[in-house]
Amino acid sequence: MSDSPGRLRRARADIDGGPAAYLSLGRGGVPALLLHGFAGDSLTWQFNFAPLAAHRRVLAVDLPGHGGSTLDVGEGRIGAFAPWLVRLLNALEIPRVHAVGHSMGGYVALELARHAPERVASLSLIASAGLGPGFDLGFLRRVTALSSVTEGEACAAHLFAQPSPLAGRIGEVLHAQAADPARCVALERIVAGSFADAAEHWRPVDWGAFSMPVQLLWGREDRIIPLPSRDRLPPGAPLHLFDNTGHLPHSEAATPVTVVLRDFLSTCDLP
Amino acid sequence: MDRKDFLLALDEMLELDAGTLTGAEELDSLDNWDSLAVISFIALVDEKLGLVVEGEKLAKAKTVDDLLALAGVAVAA
Repeated sequence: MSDSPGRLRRARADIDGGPAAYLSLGRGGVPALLLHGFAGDSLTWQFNFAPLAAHRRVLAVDLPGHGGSTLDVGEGRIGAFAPWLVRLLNALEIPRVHAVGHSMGGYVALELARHAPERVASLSLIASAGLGPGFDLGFLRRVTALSSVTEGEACAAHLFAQPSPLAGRIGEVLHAQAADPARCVALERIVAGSFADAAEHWRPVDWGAFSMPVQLLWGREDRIIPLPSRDRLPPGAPLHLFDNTGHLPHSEAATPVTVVLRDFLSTCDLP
Repeated sequence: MDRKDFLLALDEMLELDAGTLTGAEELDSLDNWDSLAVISFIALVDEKLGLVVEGEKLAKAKTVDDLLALAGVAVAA
C-alpha cells in the first residue's frame, strides 16, 4: 500500500475517546463514510470499497470495540459513537460525508445524523438497526459467547440467505473476537447498553428530524433484522430490496448494492 | 495488460518477489491474500483494466488463475 493521496491506506487517528482505525481510498468529492455492523470491522466493505472510491474518497472506520479502534465503548451506548466519529472527521478535516451504515452501523449513522446533521450529506441504511425492536437479540448474544470456530461458522452462515464461501472466514473471525476477553467485554457492553432493552424502551424514529436524503437497502431473506413494517420506515425514502439475500446485502448482492449506493451518493452530491 | 504483466502486478500487490506467481496457486495458500488484498485487487483491476470486479464472483475464486479470469486476462499462458 502506498501513502500517496488517493491510494489504499490503513491508518489510525488518535482522538479523544480512543484511537480510530480506518481505511481510506480515493480522493475528492463528498467522502463516503462506511460504518460496519456488530462484531464486524471495516473490511466488511471489501467488495464495495474500491468501486465506490472511483469518484470520491471513501473511508471505512472500525467502530469502538471493533477492529483496530479503541476497545473502550463506555456504557455501550451507540449514541456515544457519534461524537467520536465527529472527532475523527475533524481530525481528518472532512466537513461532510455520505454516511453508509450496515446493521449496527446504520444505527450509528442515524445517531451521527441526529448529533451533527450538518456533517451528513445523505444516509444509506443497509439492513439497519435502530429502526425498531424487531431484531434477533439472541443472535447478538450468541456471537459474544462462541466457544468454537464451528459455532462461529454456524452464526456466520445465518447471516446469508444462500451458502456462502465467506462464512468460514467470518466464523473464524467471530470466534477469535469472542475468545479475546477485552473484545468480548466490549461487545457485551454494546449489547447491554444499546440492544438488550430495546423492546421495552423503543421510541419510534422521528424521521421529520432528518433533513438529508435517506435510502434503505435490505435483503428479502434477512434473518437478523427483517425489514421493519412500513410505518417504521422514513416516508418517501427509496427502498431497495434484494432477492436471495440475507443480512449482508453488501456482500451477498455486492454488485447491485454498490450500484445503488454509487448512484444515490452521486445524486446527493448536488447542493 | 497481458498475463505476465498482471501476474507481476499481483506479485507486487501481495508483496511477493517478482515472478513468484504462476497462476496455479491456491489463494488459501497465499499468506497475504486477505480482505485487504481483495480491496487492492478490485482497485488494481479498475485502475489497470477499467473493469469492476463483481464481489459475488470474487468470493468464489479459489486460484490466482480465477483472479485473472475475473479481470478478463487470458488464463492460458
